Amino acid sequence: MINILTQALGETLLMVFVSAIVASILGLILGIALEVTKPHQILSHPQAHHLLEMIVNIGRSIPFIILLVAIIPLTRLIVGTSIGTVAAIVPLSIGAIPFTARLVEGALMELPEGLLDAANAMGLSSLQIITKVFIPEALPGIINSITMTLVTLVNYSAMAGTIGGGGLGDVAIRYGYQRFDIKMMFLTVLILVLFVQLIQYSGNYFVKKCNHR
Amino acid sequence: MIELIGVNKIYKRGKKTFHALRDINLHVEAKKIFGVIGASGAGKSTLIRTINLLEQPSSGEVIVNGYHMTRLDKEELRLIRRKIGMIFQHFNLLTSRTVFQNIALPLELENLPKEKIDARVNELLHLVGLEDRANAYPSQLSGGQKQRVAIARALASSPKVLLCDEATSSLDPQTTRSILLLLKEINARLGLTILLITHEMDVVKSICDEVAILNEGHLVEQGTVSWFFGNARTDLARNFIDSTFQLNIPEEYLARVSAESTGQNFPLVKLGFTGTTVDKPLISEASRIFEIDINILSADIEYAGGAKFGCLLAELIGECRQCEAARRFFIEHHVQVEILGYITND
Repeated sequence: MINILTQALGETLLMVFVSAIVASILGLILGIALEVTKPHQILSHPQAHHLLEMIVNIGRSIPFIILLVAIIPLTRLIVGTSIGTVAAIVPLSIGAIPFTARLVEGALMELPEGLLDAANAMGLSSLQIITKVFIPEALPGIINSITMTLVTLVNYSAMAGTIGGGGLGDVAIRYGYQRFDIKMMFLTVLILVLFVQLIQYSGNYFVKKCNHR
Repeated sequence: MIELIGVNKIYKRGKKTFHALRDINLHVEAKKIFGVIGASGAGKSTLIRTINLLEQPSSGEVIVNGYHMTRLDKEELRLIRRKIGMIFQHFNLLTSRTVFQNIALPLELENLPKEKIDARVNELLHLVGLEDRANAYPSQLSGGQKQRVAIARALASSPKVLLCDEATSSLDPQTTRSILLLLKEINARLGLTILLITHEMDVVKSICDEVAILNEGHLVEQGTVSWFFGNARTDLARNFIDSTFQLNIPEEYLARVSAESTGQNFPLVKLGFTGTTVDKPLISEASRIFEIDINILSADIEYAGGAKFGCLLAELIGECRQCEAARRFFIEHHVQVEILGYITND
């Protein structure tokens, strides 16, 4: 039983962290793009903005279990296989990108409007505004977004068993739910609860550390 | 240094249009402090924001230090903006940066070596008197200190012009005074041209050389501050001037004021001193010449733009005829005289 659990925990960690890294980077870029293409923003571009909006909305409306199966050809193209833990990382990343992007956009929207005036008046370029003003100023919100993405990914990863991804959620479904192994179910859920607590605690710690507002 | 020629700004929202600035012509000479005063919604903010093109004017020319701002491309505009400092009502500092790092930001853009940035920031910290708060974050500072940081940041790239967008409007009166003193000092020491907008006449009175009034997008009057206090004709201008001299009749007198002269009561007058008033001890002269007593109830006399301004409330105690002669004497010496009523003495 211990073996099953440690192996599952390893799979969960691999899936969650690798896909969180991918989703955070691409989600940050997409979130910033969503914000800066709005009217009166530094790279205002209505058509591009509408396109991005549409992509994010479609991405967020597809149920994860469907996405998992629907993008199998893409998964095979990227990692060479459509089955296993590594293969699960692809749909997990793609599923989390629009989610992260929306949260990052929200974090940027909360910045006071005056900051942009000050940055423009100082003669910053658009790139400098993003790197020197938007990202550092919104960092507490961005870290919060990444924390939420991590927790969501722990959840999503439970469905990765469908394509042989393994992980704790898969153990909970197969042993606990399907075989009615109460002990196993309880243990996996306990580990998941502790894991999520740890993610949230660390997230809060980093937000506190970089928040000088 | 700053010139606006026929500037209009029209906002369009759907079918509605809003004419925020109407045919604005304005000239700010180098090294002067120019104040634009107006009520909220008059277009002040829009006006100051057109100067560094934070707002694109719908028509007209904006010339700053010889550059036609509206004809610059994006890259040129960015570089010219670095020579136009700007401070804001809400400071707009970066909360993620310390005081030192905030002031260093404009210098980072110029790719200066670290030692040069450090030296320049320390110099600026000294100028605004915040050497001991270099490593504090803005959230740990008072409003006045935040504005000092913002001023240091605006001055970092040695601009020729400083724009102040309601820079003292969210500060208490004492802090406002200290910030205004700092601006005046910077103006004198660095030869900086300052354009400020405000809704407070006190700000104009205490530091400006010239002033213009903005009302519903029009510039209604403009001139030197001393001319303005003495000669401004529009009601709006008079209202702004009066707002700085608020004199009320003391309550115990108010009860004894009547509108009519009965011969037994004495006139209560409001004497207004303006830029054209002869600088002589008029009150004691009038008292001696016309053999009347002058009882001053309250007074507020100040200097602005090199001339004496203000008003006082006084009771003229003496014979009717003599009081009337004194009134004419004041008028001859360019004192505005208004009879508020007649006081009955017990």
